Amino acid sequence: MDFFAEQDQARKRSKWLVLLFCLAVMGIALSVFLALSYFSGPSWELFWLTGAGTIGVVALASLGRILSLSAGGTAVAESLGGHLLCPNTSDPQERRILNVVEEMAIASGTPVPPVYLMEEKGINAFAAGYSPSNAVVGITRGCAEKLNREQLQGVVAHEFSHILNGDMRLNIKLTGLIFGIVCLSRIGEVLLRVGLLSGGRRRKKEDGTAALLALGVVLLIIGLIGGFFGSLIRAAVSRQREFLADASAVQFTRNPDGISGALKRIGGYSAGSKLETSTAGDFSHMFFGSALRSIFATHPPLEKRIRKIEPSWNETFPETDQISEQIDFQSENTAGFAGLSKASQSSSKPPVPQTDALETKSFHDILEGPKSDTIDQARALIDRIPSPLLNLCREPFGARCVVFALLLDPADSRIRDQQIQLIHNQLEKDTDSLTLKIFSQCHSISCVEKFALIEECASPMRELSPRQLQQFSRVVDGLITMDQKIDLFEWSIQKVVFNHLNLEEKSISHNPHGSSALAGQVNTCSVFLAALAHYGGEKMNAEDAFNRGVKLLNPKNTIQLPTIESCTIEELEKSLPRLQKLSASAKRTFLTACLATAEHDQQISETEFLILRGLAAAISCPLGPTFINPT
Amino acid sequence: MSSTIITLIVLGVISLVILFTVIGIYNKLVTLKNRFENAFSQIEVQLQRRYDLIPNLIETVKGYMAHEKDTLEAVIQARNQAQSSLQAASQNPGDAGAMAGLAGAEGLLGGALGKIFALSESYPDLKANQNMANLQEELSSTENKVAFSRQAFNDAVTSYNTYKQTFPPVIVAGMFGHGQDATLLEFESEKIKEAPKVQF
Repeated sequence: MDFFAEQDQARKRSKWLVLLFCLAVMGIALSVFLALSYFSGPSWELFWLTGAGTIGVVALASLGRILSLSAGGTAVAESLGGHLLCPNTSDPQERRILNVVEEMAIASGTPVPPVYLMEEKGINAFAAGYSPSNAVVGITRGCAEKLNREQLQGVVAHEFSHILNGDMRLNIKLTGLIFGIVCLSRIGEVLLRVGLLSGGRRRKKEDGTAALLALGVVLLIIGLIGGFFGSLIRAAVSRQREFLADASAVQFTRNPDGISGALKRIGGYSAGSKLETSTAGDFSHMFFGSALRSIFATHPPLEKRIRKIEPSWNETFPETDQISEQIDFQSENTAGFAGLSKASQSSSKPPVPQTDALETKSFHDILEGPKSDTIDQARALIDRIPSPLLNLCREPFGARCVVFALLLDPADSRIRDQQIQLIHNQLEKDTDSLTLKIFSQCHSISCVEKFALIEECASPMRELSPRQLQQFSRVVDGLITMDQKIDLFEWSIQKVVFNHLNLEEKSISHNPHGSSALAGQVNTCSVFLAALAHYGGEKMNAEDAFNRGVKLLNPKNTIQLPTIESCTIEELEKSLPRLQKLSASAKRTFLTACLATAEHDQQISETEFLILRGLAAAISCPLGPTFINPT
Repeated sequence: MSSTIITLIVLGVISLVILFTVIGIYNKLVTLKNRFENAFSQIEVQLQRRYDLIPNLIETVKGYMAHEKDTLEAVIQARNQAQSSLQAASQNPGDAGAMAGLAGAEGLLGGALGKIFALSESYPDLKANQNMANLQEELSSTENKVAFSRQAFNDAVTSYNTYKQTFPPVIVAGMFGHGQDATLLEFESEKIKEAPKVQF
């Protein structure tokens, strides 16, 4: 599945919906005007007044609602009563959830999202947030207890599809707009009450009261009808997205049994997927299973969903009430106390496939979300990282030190001392000593593993308070510029870290993608292609590699390969703002072209990996770690 | 007639604006409160890890410090006390009583642990014990993590309190059950030490 195209489509769809919505609001304003002119006779004055009043109220209400809903994934999860799972928890059930989410995130190249647990009996899950870098995943206790690992993986894959497809943005807009119309009916209700009250007291102003009552009735009816149809549309859109998410869950995990098994267990469970929390209604479209059941259902019926995945299903549900899943402690690596016990466990683990043994992947596959083998690879990748480092990544203090340690200068010890001094001066005591302690360990792992480490750091780092975050980004900047120059590794790390933590300035709409087309930006793109061609170890045929990429951008174009001197980091940096404004599918084409250039000599060198990783992060396109074919 | 309608529409819009502001304030209060409550869970995990390490420490030390039984007893007691205070505090983060209880218990535990480490200096065998060295390092590194998460928690509490005291939230906060300020979590050892009194 192509989630870049899906994102573009979601964008187009929401434009259409906004247009339709504007027409509907105008229609509403007109009918209010007609109803009122029945009482006081039509006049231009009345026309403008009702028009401005109705549109003003609806616009205000919609905007307010959209703003409050778009406060980011964290706010949504918290208002649903979820509590944050600590990435360093030792509870086996929680550990298993976190492991599944981590694998999925690293396989799809997104930062590991914070996971919220809701103490609900029903089996359900949700994803919320505007973009992968502020998304959160929520899971109910029922989900943790009643599903096995495979099924949990299916559910998490379903949620990741929502994140990658940009479904949340569309849904938030829809919910906001509907709320604006429903608001009219609330006002109508208030007016009716006021009218009835004042009508009881003062009989003289018959006219005014009648008009008031009429206005109230009209607003009430229009608001209700509008809200009704709006909810129907929202539910229909949402149901389509659910089918899509189910399909991509199968595609990600290559395992239809996982997701269909989870759905079946919901069907055979007395608590189903119901939620107790009162705010569930507002967010019903975000969940895995339907939280409510009515014609406004945002999810297709279970039976239908299962049969789409598994046509030969015999229509029987398992007795979920009796099931309680046992967790394999060994394989979930519940880091005993403080990770001291982990070393002894690793020997008993089954051998994991090494990426070295993998053949080069076709670059078309890479941009299509995680696959079952990439998920396994991600797991193997996580397993290869030394466990003390991994444990540090799972809490805020250590995660910070890991990022610092990666940025220490490995070659020049004089600069390293200055960097340590900077950390010592700016931050809490012992930050510098811990950073120095893990320094050698951090630099002994491969480049791919370093970046997986950074993805792991993303979720605990979001627990930093704004002040701590500011301090952190100041120190990171300081460390990078300590030696008066930015090398490629530093550039790439900076892009990834700042993108994950949303430290870069984003547009107000929170939309990670723009709408500009590729055609006008071919020259901007060529800087990256040239850098990949020159520095990719294809010295002999840089020209060929470059042309291969350019051809994918625009078959008719031929561009002269820029000289190696013009491909500096400053040049790359300069072209980024324009690349960020590309539409999602233009970004996909561009990334495909980059991958083609990088892969021209059948291998992706570390330099190429760094350029690609930094670029993907800077333009908010998740790019998994598995495209690399280490040499 | 038409002036009635104008007044009504104006009134309607104004009351709607007020309604939305109030809803917005309420939501923001809830969000900020949730934020610091969630920030507490990171402190909880680290403290719990510390409490889990202490029995191991006692086990290791016991063989060497046979005749310091009272000191060891004191540590275990302080640990149990701190653990129950932590449970109370995690039920109600930001509550003045719970925070004071936890800070007090932590202070006692810190003191008792300090005593053990000071005593261990006079047992060369114990100092050479690898397990002891690991535990000591583990304990001190959790302490740093606790201090760091506590800072995040205190920042979150402060921003909740500040928001609550600004205008207009100050008018409605009390009505929505956000009347009480949340309390910061300060540990004894971290407080700025008082200047020593000079006596003549």
